[in-house]
Amino acid sequence: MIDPNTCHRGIFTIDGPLPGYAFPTTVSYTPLGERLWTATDGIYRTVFAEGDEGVVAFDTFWSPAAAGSYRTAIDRVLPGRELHTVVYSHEHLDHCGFATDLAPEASTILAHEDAAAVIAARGADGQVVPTETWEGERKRFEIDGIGFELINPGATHGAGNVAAHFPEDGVLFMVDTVIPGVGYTFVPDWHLDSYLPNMRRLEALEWETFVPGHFWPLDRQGFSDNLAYYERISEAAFEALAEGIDPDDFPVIDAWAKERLRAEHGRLFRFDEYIGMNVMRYMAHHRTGGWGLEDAGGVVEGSL
Amino acid sequence: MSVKLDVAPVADGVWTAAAGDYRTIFAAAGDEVVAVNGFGTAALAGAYAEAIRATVPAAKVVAVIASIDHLDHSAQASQLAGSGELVAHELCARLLTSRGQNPTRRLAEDAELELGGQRLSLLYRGPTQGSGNLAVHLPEQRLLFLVGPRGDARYGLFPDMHFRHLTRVWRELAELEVDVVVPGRGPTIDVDGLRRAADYVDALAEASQQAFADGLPIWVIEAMAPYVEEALEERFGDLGGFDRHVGIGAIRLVHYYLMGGWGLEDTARPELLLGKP
Repeated sequence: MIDPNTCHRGIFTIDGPLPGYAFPTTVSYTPLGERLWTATDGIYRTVFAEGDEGVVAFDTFWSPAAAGSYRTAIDRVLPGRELHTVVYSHEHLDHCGFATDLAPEASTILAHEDAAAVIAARGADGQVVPTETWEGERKRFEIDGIGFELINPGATHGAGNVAAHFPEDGVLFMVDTVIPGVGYTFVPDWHLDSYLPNMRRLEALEWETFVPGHFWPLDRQGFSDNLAYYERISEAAFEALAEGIDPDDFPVIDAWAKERLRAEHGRLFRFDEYIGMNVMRYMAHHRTGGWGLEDAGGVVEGSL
Repeated sequence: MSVKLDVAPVADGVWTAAAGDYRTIFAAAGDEVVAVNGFGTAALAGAYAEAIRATVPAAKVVAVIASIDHLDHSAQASQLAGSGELVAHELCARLLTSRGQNPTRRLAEDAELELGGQRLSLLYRGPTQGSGNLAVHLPEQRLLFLVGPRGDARYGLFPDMHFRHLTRVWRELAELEVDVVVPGRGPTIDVDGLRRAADYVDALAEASQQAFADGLPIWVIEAMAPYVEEALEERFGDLGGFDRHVGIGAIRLVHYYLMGGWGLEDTARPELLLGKP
């Protein structure tokens, strides 16, 4: 058991124990191919791969204890293997914050240089600074007999957020971009100007199964439908602004969004929880013109 | 549709102009005017220019300071500046340029300027809201203008606010010798009001973290809102909009801690955005 008084704390600043970071989750696993697996605690999801000698794990789960649970799952599937490489999908702590707890022996922590820059500057407790970085849009890796390509389609969510493509297994893995159902809360740190066109670039690749960073895998239709949902929410946010809905008043936006969008999207997973927050975020985006330099000229032209 | 702004003097030779919740300032020396921002629509910018001319006879806008990149404050700054200067922080200027505006002076650090007979300090103490958000200090008039803090609790989603540095910067600015603080939204305040704005955000940040520590489902507003409302009501329940805004603010803040912040702005080294080693 991890001690909530002494566990890694990310960037939490309050004194006292953090039982939320110490609570062990149950991580299950499912094969995606001969040597590729997906692991989930029901909310977070990632992938790991069996190498000739050891293991390559993507991401670390969302807390010190969840990282430990992830490691337990890997050890059950591949007992006695060294977890020598951790690949970060992006820089957020809730996916990549706890490599120390997942694999203290890992000799390689791999990330895109844009993610690595944020991680190094952040200095979060428990997040390991990448030992190896890559730049640009696409790079093929062969690590311990495992072949995959990392792809940065342009600004989508977070910094240096990349997809991992496993062409032999027909799998594309990417975190916090396409997720079943409506978007998570207020779609945090999504770069909404460029998100949709940059994500659509990934449709040009050969894959059958999309593994998101949360909930369950999707097929190509599910991926496309999810992107179309965001197009509609962007339009709905313009409609709300035009109708004079106060873009800062969540209760008003939530009521408006549920009434306006229930017929179209009411059956989507987490509609009642988040439809108001999704619309509110897009309203704020439209009103302010985007948040930060990522939202200025972030659309990447051309196919992958 | 005609738009009318509310204009009121806030210091010697300085006025505040408000359109609903949005607010800015302009200062005059003789017929030369320095204006800040310019509102979000062409109609409001036109009304702002009209209000300046109605207040300062034969006014000539010699400079506009785009204090923040957000469209709802500065979408029309270039048009308002006309042939005058358009001044912005480098980070803000990059965004303005990407949107077709034309900053003529780009600042990479604090600057003392003489514009239109006014002595201005343009202060950048780190990321607060938006990109390259400048505080406009008029030392002789003991006045400070800043987009971000409010005299109430109507922050909504805290859009594009960078919590790593936000309240530190506000507290530093509250140490300036000023009598009036004009925020970009809501009523004018003073330095005590600015400190209270920082206190509110800090208290909300602490309560949001504690909610996570206590095992609340931090993604559910029906759980977060009553938790933080109870924690903060005694100290901040008098702030306008507290009950409608505190819950969504808590959802926003707890994800800052869970995710680690958003970009280099929320790290210890935001100067990397400017390419500084």
